[in-house]
Amino acid sequence: MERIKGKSGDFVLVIILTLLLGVGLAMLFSASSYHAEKLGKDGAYFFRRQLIWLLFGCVAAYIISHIPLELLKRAVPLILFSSLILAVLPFFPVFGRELSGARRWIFLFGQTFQPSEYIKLSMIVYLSYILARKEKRLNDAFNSLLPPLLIVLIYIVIVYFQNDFSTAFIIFLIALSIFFIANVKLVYFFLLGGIMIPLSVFLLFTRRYWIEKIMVFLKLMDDPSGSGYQVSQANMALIQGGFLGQGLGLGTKKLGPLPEADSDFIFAVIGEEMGFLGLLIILTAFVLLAYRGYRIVFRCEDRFEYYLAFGITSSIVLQALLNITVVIGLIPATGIPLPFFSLGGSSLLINLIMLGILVNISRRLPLEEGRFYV
Amino acid sequence: MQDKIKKQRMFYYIGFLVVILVLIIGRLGYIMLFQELPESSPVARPDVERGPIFDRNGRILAIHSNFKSVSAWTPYIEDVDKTASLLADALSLDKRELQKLLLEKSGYTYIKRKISDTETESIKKMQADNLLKGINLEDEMGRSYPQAEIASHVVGYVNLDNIGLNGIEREYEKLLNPRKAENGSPKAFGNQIFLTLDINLQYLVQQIAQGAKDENMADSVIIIVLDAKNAETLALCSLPNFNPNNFTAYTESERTNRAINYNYEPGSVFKIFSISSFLDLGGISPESEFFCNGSYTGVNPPINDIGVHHLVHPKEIIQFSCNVGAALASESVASIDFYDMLRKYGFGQTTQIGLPGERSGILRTVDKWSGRSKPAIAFGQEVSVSAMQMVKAATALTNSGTMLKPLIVKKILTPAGDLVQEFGRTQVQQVLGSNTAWEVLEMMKSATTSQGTARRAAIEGIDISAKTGTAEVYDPKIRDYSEEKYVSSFIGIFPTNNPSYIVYVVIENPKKEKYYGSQIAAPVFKEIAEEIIRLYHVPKTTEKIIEHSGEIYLPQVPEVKLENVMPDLIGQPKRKILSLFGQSDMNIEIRGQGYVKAQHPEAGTELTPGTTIILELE
Repeated sequence: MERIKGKSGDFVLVIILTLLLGVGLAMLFSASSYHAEKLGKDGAYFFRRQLIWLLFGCVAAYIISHIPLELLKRAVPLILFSSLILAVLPFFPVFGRELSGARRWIFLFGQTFQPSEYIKLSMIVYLSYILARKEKRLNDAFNSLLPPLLIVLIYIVIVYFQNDFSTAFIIFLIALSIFFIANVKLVYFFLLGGIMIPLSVFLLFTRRYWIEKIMVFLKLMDDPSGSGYQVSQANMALIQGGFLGQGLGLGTKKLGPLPEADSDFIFAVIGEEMGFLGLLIILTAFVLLAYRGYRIVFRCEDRFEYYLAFGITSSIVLQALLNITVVIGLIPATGIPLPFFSLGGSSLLINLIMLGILVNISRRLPLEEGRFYV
Repeated sequence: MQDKIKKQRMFYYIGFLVVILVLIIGRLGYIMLFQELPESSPVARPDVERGPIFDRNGRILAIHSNFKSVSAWTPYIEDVDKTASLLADALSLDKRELQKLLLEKSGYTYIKRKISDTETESIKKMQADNLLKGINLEDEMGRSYPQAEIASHVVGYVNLDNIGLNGIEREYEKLLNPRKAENGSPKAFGNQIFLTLDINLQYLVQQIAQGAKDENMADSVIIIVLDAKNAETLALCSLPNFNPNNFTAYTESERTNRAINYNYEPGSVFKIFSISSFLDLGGISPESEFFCNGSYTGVNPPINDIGVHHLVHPKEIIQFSCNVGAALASESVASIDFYDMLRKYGFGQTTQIGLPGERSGILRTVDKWSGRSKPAIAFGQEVSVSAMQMVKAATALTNSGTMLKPLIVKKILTPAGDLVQEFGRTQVQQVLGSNTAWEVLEMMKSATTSQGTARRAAIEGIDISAKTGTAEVYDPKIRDYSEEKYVSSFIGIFPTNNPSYIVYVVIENPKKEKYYGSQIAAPVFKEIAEEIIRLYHVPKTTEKIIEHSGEIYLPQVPEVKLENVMPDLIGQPKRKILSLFGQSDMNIEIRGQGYVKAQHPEAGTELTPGTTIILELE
């Protein structure tokens, strides 16, 4: 069974990842120390917590990069079921807790975990599995396409009801991407769009603060203290950063004016401290990560691995792009963390596990070093 | 084992991602390399010394001042509980709320802004003892109003960030508070504004108004004094009022300038504008005769008078405030012509005096008039006005028919004292013929004679043209005019032959027994007029008589007069008593011939308009 023994994974990918993790952790220290002091902890409090999650994640990733992928395939029903259980747990008061108006955390053993991150991973695994199996009958919409779509939508709705619109949106985007890559007829996308666009507008209107966010974005509403304020403070942070930045640790917007400086808006803090040049370097690292990821995708010959590698790479790329477009004010504010940078253990852990799977896949590829597809 | 996977769509997908990436880099480059920091929020603007506001004589009404504010840098606070309780004591704040603030606010936050000197001292002392880590005292620009409540509605007030929120402070925000400093200097200075108000007069008017408000238990009192020749506002008082140094302690209603914001039906004072309109339109002449039998019954509900005035001319309509006469006179003109005249007078439009919050009142267009509207408007119902509109319209009477724009600002100077703008007599338009204006002033003079409704305003030696008004307030609940709520008013213009001052008094909802304009507003006018005469040395005709006449007048038998109290009329001959009929607001019945034998009510009884007096003669 272990036919891949001795073959090494994508070493370049691991190096890029290590680079991102290192810069990410350093910047998190800088961006979160004020937040920590404000809560009466020492400045390294969040840094230490993130570091623990990071080490934990690395171990998990290493293990996962070495297990047979067959195991993952067989575990799909278990993964789906467990993510369903996790998804509804926050609604039970024993485990779940409401934080800033959202029910999206589970509290266990003194740690918090956001099940929506796990759901994201399980959706990628599930879709890869099901689409690989039904590959040939994909254009039989009723029997092959509709069931997985419905299942994904159910999970998205659950995540939506945890008041985590952003993760629901990301899962939806990833699912769409995978369907697209699976050569599903374009007409079905238009059909889906015809249903989803009115539906999402309706869902938006059920939450007042989302409407406000969009109104603020369209400059229809004056909002000195809400999301418009965040984006304008992020904008000011970037302007202050200029080309070379204020220097590591020397940014001022993280000291109060910029809310969520260590999570959703950490990119603005990096911009202020490392400047345009620093951001270009980080973007380059993400581009390289995407390049290595999609390079694996191109080389895959097994359909399950192909979809899985694509889903994982796209998940990280899409999250990064979405986070950055919010910070620079191109789309309305949502709460998407920047992978490997933003404060948040569950997101970091899941991202690392996903990278572990990606490395695992890379180890199974036929030996074709020197032949690039991209 | 498997077909080759078709991967063409990967290229489209990656192409799409690349487009987004390029957009992001473009936008980032634009923001970080080309955008400038926005001119930051008003709080962080460069120091601006807001320009002062003065009265016409240079007395300070609003001035820049320095304050201390307490702020916190929460990361440096070691013991939130202790800090909160120390600050709560020193600044008289709520300890719990302060604790909450310190725990919840991120980083920098204000604790209390613009604190008093004693508060500053106690904070400084605690800081010296090293008790308040993370708590700072900051200098802050502020605003001080040394005259406090005096003219507060005109001057207005600023918020904590020195932005004008009301009155002149708001209307002239840009001139008082320049956004940028000149020539890159670190400090900017606002322009100086001189008002037309005379703060000495304003003070006296406000005292008198407060007295009237208390005495009558009125909801509000509005008094405006205008220079009749150039429409400069000399005093503008609206009660209740507020102290702009501490404006947040007052309700919005108290902060409202009712002189421009309160709209009401003016009642009989409006007759001076309707009668002048009818005269000017040629519908009536000073010689026209109308017969008042006490009720104008052509409309529903009928228009009534307190008494029966018998034969009246336009002069008596004003002198006795005859509603029926005014209604009859309105028949002489077309509705549309009457409406056009009132529009020319400025009703239904704001006065453009240049104060925020002005309301235009309501003058409905003719197509919305009912059959009762024309006669009703003629005596001041079915039209709503602001006090400022009334005095503005009155300037047409005092300027030979030309109406002026009321002024509140006299001039604006730069910080260095150069003239920016000066405001002088501004004609709006010719409303009336010159003759009509003078005729109406003469008619109004008769109201202050012993038989007129405005007799309680008469001042010896000064000819005063005046008109009283008592308007019932329309109650939307019962869809009729209330029997309990009144607006009593009085307009006075003097001296008649050289009109120099317009004084308008409005008392809203007096709650004592007396509520007629002739009873409660007239004496207020008189007090103010006496102060004006004293302050501005208005010459009295009596003084001249004493200087020039060596003749001795023999004392005459005093005439029988009806004032507030019923006189003893027993023994008086009938010819003396007949003069009582001219004194309009009582119903007098005489039974028999000869001399008075019995009277009802008894001597010394207080008289209110409408009282029936019965005299039996033998």
